[in-house]
Amino acid sequence: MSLRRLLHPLNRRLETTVHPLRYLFIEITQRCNLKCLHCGSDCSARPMPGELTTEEWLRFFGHLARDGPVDRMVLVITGGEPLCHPELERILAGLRELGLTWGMVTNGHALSSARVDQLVRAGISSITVSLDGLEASHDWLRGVPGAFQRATAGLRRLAGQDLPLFDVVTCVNPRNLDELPQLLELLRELGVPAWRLFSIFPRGRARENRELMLSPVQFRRMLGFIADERLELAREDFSLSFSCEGYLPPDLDGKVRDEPYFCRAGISIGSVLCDGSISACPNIPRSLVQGNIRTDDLLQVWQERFEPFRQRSWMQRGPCEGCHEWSRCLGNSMHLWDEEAGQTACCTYRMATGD
Amino acid sequence: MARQMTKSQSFSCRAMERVWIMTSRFLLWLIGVAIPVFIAACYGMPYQYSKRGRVVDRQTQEGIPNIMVTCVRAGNDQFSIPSWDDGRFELSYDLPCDDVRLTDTDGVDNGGEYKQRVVSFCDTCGDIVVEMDKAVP
Repeated sequence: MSLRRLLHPLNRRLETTVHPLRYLFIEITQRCNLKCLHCGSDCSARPMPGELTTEEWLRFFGHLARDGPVDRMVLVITGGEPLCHPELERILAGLRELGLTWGMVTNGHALSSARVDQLVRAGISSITVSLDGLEASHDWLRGVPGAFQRATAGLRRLAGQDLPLFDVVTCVNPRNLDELPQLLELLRELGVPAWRLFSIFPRGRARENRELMLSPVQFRRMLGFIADERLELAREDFSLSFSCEGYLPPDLDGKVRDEPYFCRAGISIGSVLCDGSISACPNIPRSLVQGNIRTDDLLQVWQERFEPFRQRSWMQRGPCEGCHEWSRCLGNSMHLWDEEAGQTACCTYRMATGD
Repeated sequence: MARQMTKSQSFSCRAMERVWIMTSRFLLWLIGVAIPVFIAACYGMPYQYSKRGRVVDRQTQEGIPNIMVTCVRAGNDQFSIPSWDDGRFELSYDLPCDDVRLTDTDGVDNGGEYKQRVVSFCDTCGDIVVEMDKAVP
């Protein structure tokens, strides 16, 4: 067992106690240029009413740069689609001027050469692009013909840059599951260095599109693909892993991820949503919002609230009640919490073991 | 009396909690230095809270082992680690550095005696690759 996995239980306990804010999602807008069937945020072409103005964002970033833990924190610019923000250039220039470290998550649809140059000039430290299968599958899930061609063109441009970190994420669903080996070949040909796989979870529009979700058998096939390919690919400096979502049996976890499962939502991961709401990861139910930067100080809220994220015994309901894995799993990832049902929306442990 | 006891107990609890938090902070820092943190949250991009680097011989481009890599902050040495067999090293962001100083401390044992170098630590740049020259070519 690696030192990382050996120390993981202690590390998780310490990190929960100290709760250092390390990773802050910035949902810059809910505008989007695609119409994804599985969109967790239910985005559209228009901004959501009440989105923060550029001035408000810049004022907030100034406060973070002055009082925040900037040496050890990264801002994750997300959306919607962040490249749709009409004043993105001004915001990124502000981040650079303030010396804040930032990265971006994008669907790659608007990653023109000029845009890539702009991101690099503004000091981007990491980027993630979504690619959800081969052409037909990707365009079907993303709801716009030509989305695949544009995303892969963007990936080629990014691969030509000397970026510190760069990866592709894929939402695995019944339609693209069989395409994973071909997609792997394509990513390697495009020069992508790392690939993370997700399953689609029942949030936002995906709640209404249940056919997008993998069955337990399909879920195990996806994990099997990762476990089978991972070691060989690592020798060739290509990283393949299952995303951080979902608790898995420890022996399987070690085969599909570098980092042991740890839902850091509200422990070292926070977010500021496009209307100023303060939460943990952006897809977490709105009932768990802890404040709003229009009226509250983020750093104070981070220190004094967020109790439901750091003390999760209230989540021990439904399938978690009496579960022997509780002490390691702690109710699965927070974004899988189903408010209406009052329990986790899916038990990835059971899906993985077939129990 | 009973009320005074309660106050005193409450004070002890708060003091113990403070000690536990400070101890946790130190232990977490220690683990972070040994095993740098990496986060790739759901639908977030990956971020490594450390800087990876490699020391190479300028002429051969071969990695140089056992070069002492020192993190320098505000002119003071923070900590040092030796480069691995292939010349690679990793510096955790839990100890922020302004500069990195590279020193050959074992003479010719690692294939030659190299001149010291100091490079700036840029957290938005990619991996640090430092080329070192032999003191006596």
